[in-house]
Amino acid sequence: MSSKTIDKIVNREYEHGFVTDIETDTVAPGLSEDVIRMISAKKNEPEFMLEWRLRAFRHWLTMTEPQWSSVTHPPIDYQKISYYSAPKSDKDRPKSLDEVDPKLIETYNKLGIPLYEQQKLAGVAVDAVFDSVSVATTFKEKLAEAGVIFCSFSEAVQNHPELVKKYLGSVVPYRDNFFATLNSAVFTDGSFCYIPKGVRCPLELSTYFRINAANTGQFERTLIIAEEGSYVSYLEGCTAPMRDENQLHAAVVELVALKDAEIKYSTVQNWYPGDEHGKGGIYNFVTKRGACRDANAKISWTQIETGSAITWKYPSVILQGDNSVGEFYSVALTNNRQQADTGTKMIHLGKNTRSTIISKGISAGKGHNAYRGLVRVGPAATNARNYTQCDSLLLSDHCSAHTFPYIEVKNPTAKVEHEASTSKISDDQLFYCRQRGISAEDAVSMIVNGFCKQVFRELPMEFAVEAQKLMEVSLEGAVG
Amino acid sequence: MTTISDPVTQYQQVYDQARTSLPGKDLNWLTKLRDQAYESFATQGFPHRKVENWKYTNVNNLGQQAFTPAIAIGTVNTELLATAQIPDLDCYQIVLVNGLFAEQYSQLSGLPAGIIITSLSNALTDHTEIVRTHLNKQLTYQGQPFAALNTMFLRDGVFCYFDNNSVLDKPLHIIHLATGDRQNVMSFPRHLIVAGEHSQATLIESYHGDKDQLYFNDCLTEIHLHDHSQLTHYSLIEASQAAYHIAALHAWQQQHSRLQAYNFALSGKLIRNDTRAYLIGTHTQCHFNGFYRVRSDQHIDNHLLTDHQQPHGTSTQTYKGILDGNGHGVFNGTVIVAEDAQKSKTQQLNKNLLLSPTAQINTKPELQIFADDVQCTHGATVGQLDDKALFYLRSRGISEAMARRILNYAFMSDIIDNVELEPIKIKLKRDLKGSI
Repeated sequence: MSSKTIDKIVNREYEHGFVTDIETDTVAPGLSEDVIRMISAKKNEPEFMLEWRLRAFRHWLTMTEPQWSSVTHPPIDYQKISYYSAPKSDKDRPKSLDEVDPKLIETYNKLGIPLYEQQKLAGVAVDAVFDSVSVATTFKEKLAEAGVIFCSFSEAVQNHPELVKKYLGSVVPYRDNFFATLNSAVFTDGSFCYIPKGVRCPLELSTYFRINAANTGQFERTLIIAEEGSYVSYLEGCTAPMRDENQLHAAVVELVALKDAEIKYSTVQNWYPGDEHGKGGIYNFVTKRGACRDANAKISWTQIETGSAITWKYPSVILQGDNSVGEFYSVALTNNRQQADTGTKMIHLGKNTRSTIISKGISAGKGHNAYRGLVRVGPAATNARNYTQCDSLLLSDHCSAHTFPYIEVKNPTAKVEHEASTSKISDDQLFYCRQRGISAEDAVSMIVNGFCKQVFRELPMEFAVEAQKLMEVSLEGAVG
Repeated sequence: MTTISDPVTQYQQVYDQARTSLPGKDLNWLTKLRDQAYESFATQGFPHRKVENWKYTNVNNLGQQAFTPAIAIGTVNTELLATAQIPDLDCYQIVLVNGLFAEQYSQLSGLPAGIIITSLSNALTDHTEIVRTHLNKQLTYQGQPFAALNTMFLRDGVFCYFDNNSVLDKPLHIIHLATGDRQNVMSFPRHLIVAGEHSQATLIESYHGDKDQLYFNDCLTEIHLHDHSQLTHYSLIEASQAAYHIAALHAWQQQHSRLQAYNFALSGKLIRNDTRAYLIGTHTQCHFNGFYRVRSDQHIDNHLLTDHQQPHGTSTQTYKGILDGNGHGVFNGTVIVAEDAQKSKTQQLNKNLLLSPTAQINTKPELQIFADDVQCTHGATVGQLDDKALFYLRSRGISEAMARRILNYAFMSDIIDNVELEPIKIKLKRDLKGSI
């Protein structure tokens, strides 16, 4: 392929890089007990929340940042981050889209995810998180009919404190890890979702996260509870405006699936990855974990990671209930100087538990991609079954792809398989396509899409389209 | 048993007492090497489970026991020596007792021209220059505290030098016996193998101990393969049931060289093998094969590293294990392909059979790839015997126990069938048949 096309595409500006000029109510940078008290007070939280936050904060002070991953970044100054940022019009929250700040709507339009269209065409309820406070929630009534609670985390704290109290931190305890603990102390908002017994959620729930205000770390907290026999599919997607300073995003996602329940969690992550020299870009350090609490529960993670300067996350499933199922489908793409250290943990505790891991890593430019996974079969997990496949595709001679699969088995009836391969696109494949008149770029795009197909297939329709487009944009020209 | 609080201080004290009696104390370069090793061991400390390399292998028990370094051969258990010899194997033989050269039991007459095989302590005086230029040349102690310990206490071992174009006509069998009148002996055999251009050789290292004698082996084999040389290396570990056996094999391969290494870990309380090859020339071939049989309270840990630093290298890592009782197996295979090591081909496979509810396996096949034009695959499986295969055999009137043995045997047979030396193949088959 000509180096011209490569340069053209590699040097393409980040499409979604723009800053919307909206007044925001931002707290001065710094972290102390006072800041946490203030966040809690601003959100009018009950006492138990404040106590929980403070416990987390005090524990966080005793912790040190983990060093074991294969990613590198300059040290983060936690005192330079502003821990709270809300759109100004906090008091009179908009009741419908008409009341939403037109500039915000404009932002979404630029991103190609207009709320109007989504409501009409996709039938998706959108809880749009603009910086830290949810400003628009749609289809609430329709969901309420089914008994589904889908609201921002702050609303849930106000309206359903008993559920929050029962499940918050039950999957990711506040002591879990450095970033999860930080999140527990300072999280400002996020999504809350509760599917009652036997309900199949009528809509696919979706939250578009968007980081906007400069220097504001995003500390989202998502909690999804699927009661006995219920089903929910949850979509999460992100883009962020161009920015020079690295932004820290340390979210926590907790999923609880009770007996016979199923949660499907899909992510398309396209945050600003930094420029070609590695300047700027989001640090995406996220703790995602689901617990199959009871028999026959199922949790499925699907992620398409193309953005962020650093992606560092391991969506995991704890398979407690007998016959429960965990799945992890991932495509991680790194270009320029992006780094990704991602994978999953499947902890088999119950009998006949099954897990599937399909991970596809694509490295281009000077990208650094690592799969790090753990499959643990406990002594009581009779007949546990795991299948892992992690493949890496290397598209330049300066990128790297690593695999660190940990397998720990303590039960003789377990069957665990792991296979992986690393290679580049073969010249034969390319030649075959070229010979049929397909341009090199299209051919590469086609082959990469084929490489990822197993994962894309798992995505809901709307996301599958977006994901393919994303891959094309982020990849095509990066191949030489 | 004496318990000690800080193993590092303990080893330092033993070293301070022993240092004046260690061979080569007049050689400045050697003293310097020992001092560096001493320093590295002191900074790294005794490994613990927070160290990634030792995550699944707990050496606390080892650290809590006091051992004294062997300084004299003592009485040799001739019965043990007889069992250590491989039937029908026509070979040169070196016997090391507690890591020390036992000349009277060794058989080295008739070596072809251009080949030197002697004890390392002799080589320190007779072949100082070759030893000086190769010993510890590129060894790193990072994550390898026991390699540092071995260098500190370096006393004896085997020195092999194969001159350019020389061929060792018969295999060399290095028999290590742990035997003596005392318990709690530690030995530090150190082997230095230098293979000149176009040379060929086969080495067998085997380790044996009295039934339940408690001892600690800290072994290190350094192999330097020059252009176009070929080496086949076998390691047979039949340590005593109470023994701690920590061994490392480090090889540096120049262009077009070929290393074939086999490791059979059959008995010992705690076995840890660090097998590493650095492919520093182009067109190298490196094949690691291994089998481990983990029983009762045994712990067997295999750490492999194949480091492709230059293009056109081919490597494989094939390890299989059968585990039962309360046995604990660990496999950690790493393949690194450096940025310029294009056209590298690597294959990595680890398969495990878990036969008892209390046995456990931790496996981690790891790839670190920095080049794009490569073919790297790896796989790992953990499972049990196939019910259908079992049923098939049962339906032919074979007892369940027999059927299991047949399947276990089939599971390991491809590793053993790979063995080139027929007498070793036969010995392994015979020994393992009994244990499965």
